Amino acid sequence: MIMQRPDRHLQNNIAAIKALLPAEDVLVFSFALPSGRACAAVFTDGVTNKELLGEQVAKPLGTYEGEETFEELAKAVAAPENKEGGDFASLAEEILDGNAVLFIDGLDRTLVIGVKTVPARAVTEPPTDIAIKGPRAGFVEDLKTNMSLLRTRLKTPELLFITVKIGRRSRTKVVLCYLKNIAREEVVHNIRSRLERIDIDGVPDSSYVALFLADRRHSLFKQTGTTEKPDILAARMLEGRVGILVDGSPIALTLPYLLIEDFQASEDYFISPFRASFTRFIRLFSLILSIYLPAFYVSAQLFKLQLLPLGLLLTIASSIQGLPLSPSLEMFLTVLLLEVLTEASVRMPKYVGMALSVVGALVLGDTAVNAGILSTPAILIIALSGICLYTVPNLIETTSLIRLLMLLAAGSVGTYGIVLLTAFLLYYLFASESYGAPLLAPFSPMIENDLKDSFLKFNLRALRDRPVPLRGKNKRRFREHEE
Amino acid sequence: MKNDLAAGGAAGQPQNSSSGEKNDKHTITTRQLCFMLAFFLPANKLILLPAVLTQYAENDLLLSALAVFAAQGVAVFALLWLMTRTDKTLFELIAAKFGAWAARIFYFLFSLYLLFSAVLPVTEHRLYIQNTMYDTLPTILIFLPFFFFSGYAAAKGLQCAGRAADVSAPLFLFSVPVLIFMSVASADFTQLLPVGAAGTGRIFSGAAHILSWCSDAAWLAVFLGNVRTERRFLLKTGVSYACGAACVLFFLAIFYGIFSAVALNESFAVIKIARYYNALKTLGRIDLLFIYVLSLVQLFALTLPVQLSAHTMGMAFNADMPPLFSAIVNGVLLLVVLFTSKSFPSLEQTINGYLFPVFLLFGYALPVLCPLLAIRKNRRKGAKKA
Repeated sequence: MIMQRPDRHLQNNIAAIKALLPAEDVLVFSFALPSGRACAAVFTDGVTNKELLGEQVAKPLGTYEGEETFEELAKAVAAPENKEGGDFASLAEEILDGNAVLFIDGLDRTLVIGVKTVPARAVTEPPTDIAIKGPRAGFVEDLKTNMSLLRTRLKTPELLFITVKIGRRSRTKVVLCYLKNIAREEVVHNIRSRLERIDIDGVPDSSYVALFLADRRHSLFKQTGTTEKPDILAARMLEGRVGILVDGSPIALTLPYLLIEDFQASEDYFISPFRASFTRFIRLFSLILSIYLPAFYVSAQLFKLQLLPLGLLLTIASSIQGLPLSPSLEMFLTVLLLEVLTEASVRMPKYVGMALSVVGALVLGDTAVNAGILSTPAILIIALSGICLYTVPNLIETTSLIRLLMLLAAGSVGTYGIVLLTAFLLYYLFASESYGAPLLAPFSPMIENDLKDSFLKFNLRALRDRPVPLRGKNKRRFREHEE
Repeated sequence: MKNDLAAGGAAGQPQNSSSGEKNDKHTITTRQLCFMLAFFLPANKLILLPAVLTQYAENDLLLSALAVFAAQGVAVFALLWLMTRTDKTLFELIAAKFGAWAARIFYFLFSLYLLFSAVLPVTEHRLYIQNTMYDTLPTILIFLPFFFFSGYAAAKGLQCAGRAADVSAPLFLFSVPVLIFMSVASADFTQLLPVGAAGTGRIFSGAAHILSWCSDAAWLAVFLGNVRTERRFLLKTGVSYACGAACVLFFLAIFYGIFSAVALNESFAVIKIARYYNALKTLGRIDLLFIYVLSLVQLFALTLPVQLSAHTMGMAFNADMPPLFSAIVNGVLLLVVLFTSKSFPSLEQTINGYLFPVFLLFGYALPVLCPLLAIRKNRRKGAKKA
């Protein structure tokens, strides 16, 4: 008969837990109290700190001479994080999680001791969120480290964590973090219930969770905010968003998501508001340029030559003379080439990647022009578009796709195709919401208060109220005190 | 500030409602209504209307336009006033007064009218696109993708139309003032003198021929009960309407100031007025970029009656199937555009010349009569109290 709960016989308990966890990395550390009573700590090799186990458990118990009740023995254990265990299923989960479970002969109660250790990399600056000014610490793969990084920035009892285990096999810990009264309760409730409904075998990264939290199953646009920096997560939570940390992932998710947040860099808040506004407009301008420039170039060549000044028109005419490809096909091919080069340079080892960029950018481009396959303006436009795309790195996935769609529209319908596709995408965004927050807020619907932190960045003292679509009961960030 | 999200609605709410039941997906804010009046209203009046008006009213085109805007202003004011008096939709008001079936029949007729009112602007837009966005006249097929967009937009709630108005504001303010700036120096406003030279008959003839373009009051009726009114609602919306009308009047003045005697031959006015700007010789037709931006606003404005037609049809049939009604409305519109692709002048003559009483009825008379639905009810309440 399979035992559900531990009994008073140590050997039975060890046999039961080994039956549940037959893997070789589940070890049993046996020792005895001075009275001769046998004890055994069951743990997982590699994720349990054996040194701590010896120091905090075996050593004090090995010299313990008091009353041998469960309560007294638990007090004797020097570990700061321990609790009483439950049935074998929960004990197995604790062991796999890195904790040790202490069985004592003659007692049918067990002690779970927090001696987990995970090989984690150091807290470093994340490669996707580099700041010239401002904090540099980034999240790592260890959940507890990430939680502590957040806690050090928000030392308030209002910071609450809700842990949910997701993954039938991975049993990954997912932590929902929010500030009580600042985040909207219905959003927290909605996210939590969606998290609890996820039924998947494993969660290797937070992007898996993001897919289940999205309002639209198939969306062209992002539906969750992401960040690798605790200062950004803390700032977003102070605006009323809910954060989601996933064990094993350095990328935190934030909800609700607004499109504008990808134009807001963390250092915008540490520099002059004029400079910040300027850089945000540069980002917007670059994004527009990266999407529309190739499309307008194609449509101008194919359908509306008046769009280009005469001098430029003549220069382009001379460079495209004798090209075997149509303008749209040429541009499409160049964009594809750029996408292939980008993909290859990301996947290849660092040093090969450098060589690839030389081969791709210089040799391929130059040779293609000399061979008369591609024109110089096409390469120039795609290079400019490619560079501009990276001014808003969080939107690259979407914008590169939209750029291709625009090219397709320009090549088939011309300028009207570009205008129609833009109108279509805008309408798509009008109808898109993230947990009740319109994706295009604060522009559509227009929210005067939130425009102060959109493309125009006002002085911090003007940002008194939290963003309207995000905030809960507590609406104000700060109060002005008269001097 | 009012929370605009209240009009924005929260996720997970029902998409549509039937029987006039109010729904946040169809609610817009006062500001969004103001933007519609100020930016949607003039957007599609800058294409063919100036040339048509010149044909009948010559240098008195401003008087004709002013007369129409004044008449329309009365209709607009009547509906705006009604919005401050009741939070019921037109459907509910009619249903309360004459019964649900009467409301349904009226809404069906009204949806046909809205569809009909979209025919000329859509056809005009097709010609405008074909003539201005291509160096050589393309096939009509180039215009067909419009119906994909229109079909998608018409299936969305009225809330999306409000949000489109929000985005249209910066787009309109970015494009039209620049185009006016580029053209105003070329205009000779003395060409508009002497005032009244065309004669009363021609002025009223001009006014009658642009009624189809200026029947915007009708679509306000659909927003009845779906607008979150706020303090000084009448003043804000009234000023917005006046701004929209003033923008058209100023544009007409510039148009006639530039082209005067040949103005009646200058169709697609908006694309032509800025072409004499000096800098264009060196920069290329950069005014086209502003025209493309304006085209976005024109597209949103053009889709509004189609969207409202699908919405009212859905309510008339008491069915919560926006994609179906959107498909029907757009399908009909597509057929009309295809059948009339070679005969725009006769279509324009028929609509503006023979069918203008339809616009007079739905665009002017009915909106003016709408307040009676509320007034009579109040009197009854007063009598009961007495």
